[in-house]
Amino acid sequence: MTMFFQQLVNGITQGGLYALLAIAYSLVYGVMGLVNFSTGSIYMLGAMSSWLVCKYIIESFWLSVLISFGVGFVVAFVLEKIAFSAIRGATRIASLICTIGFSQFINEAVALIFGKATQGMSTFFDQELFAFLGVHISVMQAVLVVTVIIILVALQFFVYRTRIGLAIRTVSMDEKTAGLMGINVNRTISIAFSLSGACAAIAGLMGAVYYRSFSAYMGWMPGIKSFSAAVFGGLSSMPGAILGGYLMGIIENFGVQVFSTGYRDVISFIVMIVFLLVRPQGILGSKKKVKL
Amino acid sequence: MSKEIVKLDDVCVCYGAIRALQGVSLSVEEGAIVALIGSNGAGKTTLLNALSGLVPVQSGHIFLRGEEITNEKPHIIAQRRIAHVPEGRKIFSELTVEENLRIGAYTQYKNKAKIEQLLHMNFELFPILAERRKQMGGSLSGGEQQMLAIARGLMSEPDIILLDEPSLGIAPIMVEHIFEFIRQINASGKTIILVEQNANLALETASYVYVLETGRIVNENTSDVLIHDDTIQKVYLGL
Repeated sequence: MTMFFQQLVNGITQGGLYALLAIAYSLVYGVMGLVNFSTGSIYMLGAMSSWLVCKYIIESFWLSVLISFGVGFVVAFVLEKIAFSAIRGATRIASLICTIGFSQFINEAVALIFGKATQGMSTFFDQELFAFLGVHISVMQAVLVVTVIIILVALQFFVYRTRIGLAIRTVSMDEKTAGLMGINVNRTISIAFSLSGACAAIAGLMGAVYYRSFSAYMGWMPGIKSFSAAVFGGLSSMPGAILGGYLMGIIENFGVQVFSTGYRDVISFIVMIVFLLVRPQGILGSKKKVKL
Repeated sequence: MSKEIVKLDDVCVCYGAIRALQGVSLSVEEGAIVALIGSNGAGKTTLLNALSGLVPVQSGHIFLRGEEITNEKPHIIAQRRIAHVPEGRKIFSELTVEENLRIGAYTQYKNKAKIEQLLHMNFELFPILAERRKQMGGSLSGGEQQMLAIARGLMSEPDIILLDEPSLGIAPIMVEHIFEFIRQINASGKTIILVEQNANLALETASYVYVLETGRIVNENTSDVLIHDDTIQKVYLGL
């Protein structure tokens, strides 16, 4: 029982990171109908910028959050201008490959500058918050969980209660008609894309804090896993992506408990594949219904 | 004599090697209902799309109240009080009727009171939409969806409404209703540019009609004259 709750707590912590990343995929997929395969690299850049902040400026968690947010936002903004706006009208597959290329470019550039080795990250909030019947929760876990929830709530507010949010939702439904409604489609896509980058970068910062490390290639696994999580929850639905992210984190941690750490990645993917065989649109995703 | 509100001057549009519009010039007077008729592929929809910025214009000029709007982005043109009710209606099927209408008022998002007033006005004009306001757009019948599309267009308080095939795929009884609404909307002072395959309907409704064939205007006149034109009767009215 103790183990059950301990793994649940760990799963929720880790699931929060996946949820943030899954949202990043979902936002871009929503407005462009396209998967941004450089999300994992932006995650790594978020981790990198917080690592740099802590190493060279000041060991501050909250400053790192701000810097990561900014770096993710700007990098994604630039990526959208290069990979999408500039070659708009080209085939979708061209944009897709462009995001993969961009991802490789970022990873290798960072590896060249800071080396391929894993670097140590400052430790934050190392104290234990409380231990109850053998379940240990650290202050760090609590901070991560709460921060993720705050960001997710803020994002829901942004998307469902603001003008830009309405534009994002409308463009997600029908880009052409959105333009006819007076919505600046290009700007909306640019904002959604940048926001997605900011989410991914904050997830990266949290990854660095959680695992107390940073490396140039750290974005690959979380990137691919949270993509699966987003598909699992329903790529076209934001609540679905959040749910998928948390479920992925929880399943993974239970899997580690039942089998062994070596099977960590295998288990989550097997669960996802089996699930998608039964429900290909994901948990909350909907099949497009068109009435002509 | 009323003023010219929209003017196309020698407009050409190509889709790759296909020349959809080949030097079309036309002029629309403020407060008129102008119809474009012609068979499938004549370029009617392309003309509306060029006007609202959905397709790029290769050469020629489009003017709105004397100011050039050629190749402006769709949202800029929408903000200049042109509402395009697209072919196939393009309702947001996963949103409710009311949400669809609210998106139509996107350009006045900040003016909540105005939006409520416009909602009220549209529900009065289309009582069936008021009845269905909490229903999903996709669950409406074709005719109701067409009304919703028109109402959504009206939510931006346009001066000009572009209507693309409002009768397409709709029960005949509904078509009559919809054209009655179109006349009402026109009577409230809005200019209407109507694309219609049903030439009979177009000639009955519009004051001035342009006939398109393979991307060119081949005939134009007031509907009273065109309705007695031999070619029109043979080709488009099947008399």
